[in-house]
Amino acid sequence: MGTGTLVLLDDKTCPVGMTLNMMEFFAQESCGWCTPCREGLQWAAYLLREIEEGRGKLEDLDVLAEQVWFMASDKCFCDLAPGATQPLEAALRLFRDDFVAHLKAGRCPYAPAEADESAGAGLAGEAGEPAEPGAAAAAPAGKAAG
Amino acid sequence: MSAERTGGAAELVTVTIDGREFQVEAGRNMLDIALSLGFDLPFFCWHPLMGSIGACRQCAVRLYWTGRDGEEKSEIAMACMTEAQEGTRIDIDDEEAVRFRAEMIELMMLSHPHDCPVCDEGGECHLQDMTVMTGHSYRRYAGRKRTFRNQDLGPFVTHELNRCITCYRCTRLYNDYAGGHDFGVFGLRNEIYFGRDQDGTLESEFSGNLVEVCPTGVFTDKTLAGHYSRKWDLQTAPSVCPHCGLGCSTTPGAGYGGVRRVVSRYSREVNKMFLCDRGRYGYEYVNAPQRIRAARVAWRPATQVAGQSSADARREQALDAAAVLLRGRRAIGIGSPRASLEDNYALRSLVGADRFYLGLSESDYDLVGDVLAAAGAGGGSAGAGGLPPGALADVQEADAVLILGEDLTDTAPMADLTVRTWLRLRPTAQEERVHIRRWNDAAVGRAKRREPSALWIAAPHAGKLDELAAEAWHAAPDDIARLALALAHEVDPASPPVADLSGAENERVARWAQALHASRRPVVVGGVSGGSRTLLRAAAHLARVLDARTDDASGPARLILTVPESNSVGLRMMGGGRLPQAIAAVARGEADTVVILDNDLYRRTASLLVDDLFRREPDVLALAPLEDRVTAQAGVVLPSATVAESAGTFVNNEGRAQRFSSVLAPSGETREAWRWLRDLMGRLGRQEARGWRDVDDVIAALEHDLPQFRGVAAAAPRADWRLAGSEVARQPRRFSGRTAMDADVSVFEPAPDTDTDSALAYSLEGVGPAQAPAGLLPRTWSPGWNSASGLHKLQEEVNGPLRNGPVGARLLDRGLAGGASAAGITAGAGAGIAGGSAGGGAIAAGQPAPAAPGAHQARPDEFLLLPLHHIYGSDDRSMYTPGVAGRAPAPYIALGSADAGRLGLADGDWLELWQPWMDVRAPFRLLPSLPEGVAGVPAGLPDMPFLSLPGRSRITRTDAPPAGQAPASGAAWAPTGGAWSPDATPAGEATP
Repeated sequence: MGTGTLVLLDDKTCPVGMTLNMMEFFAQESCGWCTPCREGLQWAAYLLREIEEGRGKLEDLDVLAEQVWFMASDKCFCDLAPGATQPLEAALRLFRDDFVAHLKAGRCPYAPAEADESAGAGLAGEAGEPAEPGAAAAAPAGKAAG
Repeated sequence: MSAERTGGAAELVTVTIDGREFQVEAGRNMLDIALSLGFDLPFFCWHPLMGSIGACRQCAVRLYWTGRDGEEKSEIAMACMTEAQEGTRIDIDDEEAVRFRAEMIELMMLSHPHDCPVCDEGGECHLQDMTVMTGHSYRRYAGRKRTFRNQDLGPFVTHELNRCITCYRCTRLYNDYAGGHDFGVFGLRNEIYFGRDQDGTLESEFSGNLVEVCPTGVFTDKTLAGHYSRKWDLQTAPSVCPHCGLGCSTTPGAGYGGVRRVVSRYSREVNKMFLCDRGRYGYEYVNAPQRIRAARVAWRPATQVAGQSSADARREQALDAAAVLLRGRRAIGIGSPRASLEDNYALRSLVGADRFYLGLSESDYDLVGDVLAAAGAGGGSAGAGGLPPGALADVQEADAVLILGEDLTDTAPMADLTVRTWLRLRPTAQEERVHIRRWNDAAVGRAKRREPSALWIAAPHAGKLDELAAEAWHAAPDDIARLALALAHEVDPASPPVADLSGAENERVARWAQALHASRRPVVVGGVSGGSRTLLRAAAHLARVLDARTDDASGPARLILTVPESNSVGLRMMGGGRLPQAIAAVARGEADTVVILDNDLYRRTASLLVDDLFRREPDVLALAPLEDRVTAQAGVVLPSATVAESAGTFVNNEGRAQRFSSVLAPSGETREAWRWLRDLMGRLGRQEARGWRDVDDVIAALEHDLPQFRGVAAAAPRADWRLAGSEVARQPRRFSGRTAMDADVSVFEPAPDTDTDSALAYSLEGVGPAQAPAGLLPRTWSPGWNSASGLHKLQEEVNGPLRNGPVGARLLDRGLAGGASAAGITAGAGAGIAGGSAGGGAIAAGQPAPAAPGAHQARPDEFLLLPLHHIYGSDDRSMYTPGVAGRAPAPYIALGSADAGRLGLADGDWLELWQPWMDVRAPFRLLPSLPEGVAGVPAGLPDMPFLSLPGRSRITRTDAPPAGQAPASGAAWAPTGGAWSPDATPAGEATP
């Protein structure tokens, strides 16, 4: 991913959450000089958090893909954003199912169920097991902000 | 961008844009080229004068090249960072590039507020224009917008940072080009903050340019907000700044009977795209309550004049009254350096050449005369006489600049900015070696940090430019003159040496001479503001000697001289007597009536002399736009128009005649001074002015009568210019308020104002900016380009001349010494006026080296008193703007560290100085850099009396005046009587 490194995730780690973590880091790192990086990285981090926290929409995946496009190396002043969007590109390509699972579940399927959630939804989170996509049906529908 | 900025001769290469081939100058960037060729390509961070930084990514295009394997490759590239080389090929109309450019707008809009309807930038917003151009319309981002706290940046500039798109233009202009220190860029990622470290007035004299440079509504004109109009509701016309002698081009905007704001108008030779804050914000005097709107006759009840009759009838009554003062009487006229050539000429015609006096201070009369003398024979640079006067644009091509005795920041602010811009953009050997292009701004900035400066300053005290100089030396004017003459001797041994140079002086001369020897195109900057004729002549001599160098590598040298007021040079060229002679003529009983043209004489000579003039009770006819101490004592006052309400010509410091046009019609009984004077001549049965229907007729008479003014008519198109029968429209097509503006008074649409003096109409119908001749260009606008950033649409190429003809006409190039011109110049002196001082004969061919003065000697009992100029304060007209007045200094008397130490002075002490006719008491101010034995007082402050400067004066410590008698921070002054006027009654404490 990204800089040619391989990152190994076990089956209990959410690839969306990991991508979010990296994008938030890179968005912090942006110096603010050129527009695609300055605005694009924080927008990408924002969308990933929306998805990770269950407020994502299917269109957001298209927007994320577009962000990978406009932060390519011929379009930015330096290589921070092109490097930063490599993991995002890989995640969108390799873990699309997990993204979709987030959108359908309206929450992160890898996260343990929270105590105040309904019993039906709570089952899926047992022992940190990945949630079955179907289990999300009982969760509140994903709601976009704003 | 011409060859000078690419650092060499123009080599042509073939580039391809959207499949079309063009021959262009190699080394320019492709954005510059595309815009110059007429392509529409959006941009933000690129600026025509500040170059490219590649930050905003808005000018994306597809760039093609052939790889090593012979295969054609392409990628998205920024046009502004792409150098034109043989075969460079870009597509603007590329699908991915088009999509990317729209995407960049979406990104900039992520946090941009939806406040266009209440944003002062609306209607002239580059961001609006670029958004429309790229086609972006729908924002997908739904998160929180980043917000900032705004700052109070003082009286001139509003700060609304949420609108920021982070193009970095503001900090580049303010810090990198204008040299500001109190503004900057803070933060990182999408929270970049442009502002000060805390609230406070922007310190730079060029802060107003932020308003024009900012592509959106972050920085807007705070004075405009006080009486706001949209750009499309502003009536605009080309004008010339009246607030110093440089003659910057301006575009005032008027509405509701007043001037609403002033923005820069492009002038390639003078101010480029910028203005100083005095010029931009000094316009409020036009709207001031002190304006005279009605004629006034002192000896009749006001009701009779200002009764129910029409304005025309009241004008006639006033003319009748004025004619009474002139008919069969011996009248003299006193002109004004801030009135147009036409107004001054009309007065000269009324009273006769031998009874026309210039109304300049003695010092200015001599010094501006010396400025003309320095232009001498002109024509060829190797001529025996003078040099053609240098223009600000000449600085751009210099490789060394010597400033001798001038504090440019305060006396000619745009000259300061020109020098700063030159320092950043001048080509250097290092940049040539590594092929840094002039437009590559970040690289140029980094390279310049390692280059030694090419600016050398010798001035009486420290100035803001000092920090950029290779060496800044503070000395008395005579010592600076010695330096200049010693340098002239170093350059050309035939120039006489300076005797008795001290060891330190010799070392300094050696250092500076080395810089001059290395330079090929030096520019010497001097001027009148220090008040020293010796220094001005020494500076001119040095420039002549440098210019006359004959080694192959040396190019021409230039001499740029500042003058005090907008028409100082024009008035001095016209010729006439000195002000004290006018007063003497009244005292001798040789004049019964004095006609004074827009001139507060109390600013020109000692108040005792002016008081004496009035005490002789001549009949005084004043033509003035504003109440002052002269109009208060005049028998008849005729309201004359300001620059904003009339057409006329100023001649700037380089002898460039520039026409200004009215931007709003004069109101009430106000009219152009020359029209009043024309009608007066008619009343008196005189024939000269009968044919003067419009300003062109006055100019024709002027050119015919005074040959030195031949060429003035060419400064702008004639009033009868038409394109397909149409005049140029002052109002934009969308001028929406036309029928509603006065609806609170009357619902009937008023008849449009008329103006016979220019080919500009008070109408939205007519020729627009694209077709208007450059001399009539009413505003910067073309379809799709509503902001100041669309200027290139009106230029032949980016940074090139305006399309559709020249602006202004230089008058001094052909020389003054020969033929009729010299006769005209010296007419005043030759007309029975004993005007020739020791240096009066300087206007002559073949100027010898001036004699070197002795070194300045500090005397314990007497100080050399110099005028200290202030951008805010020394020009009284701009002081009607509250923001300008608020930044003007209170009166003071300044001494240097050595003298202050010797006298044991501290803050809060008061000093008293004596001049022959005047005592002044004012608070002490420490100006550490003032040389020993030199004192300074602020020049031209309304609160200060006139002092004859430079002068010599005893200065002693005194007690602060008791509370209530004088403002704590002000000055107290009292005429002390003197030899001039034995019958003068000693006045008590006069009021400032």
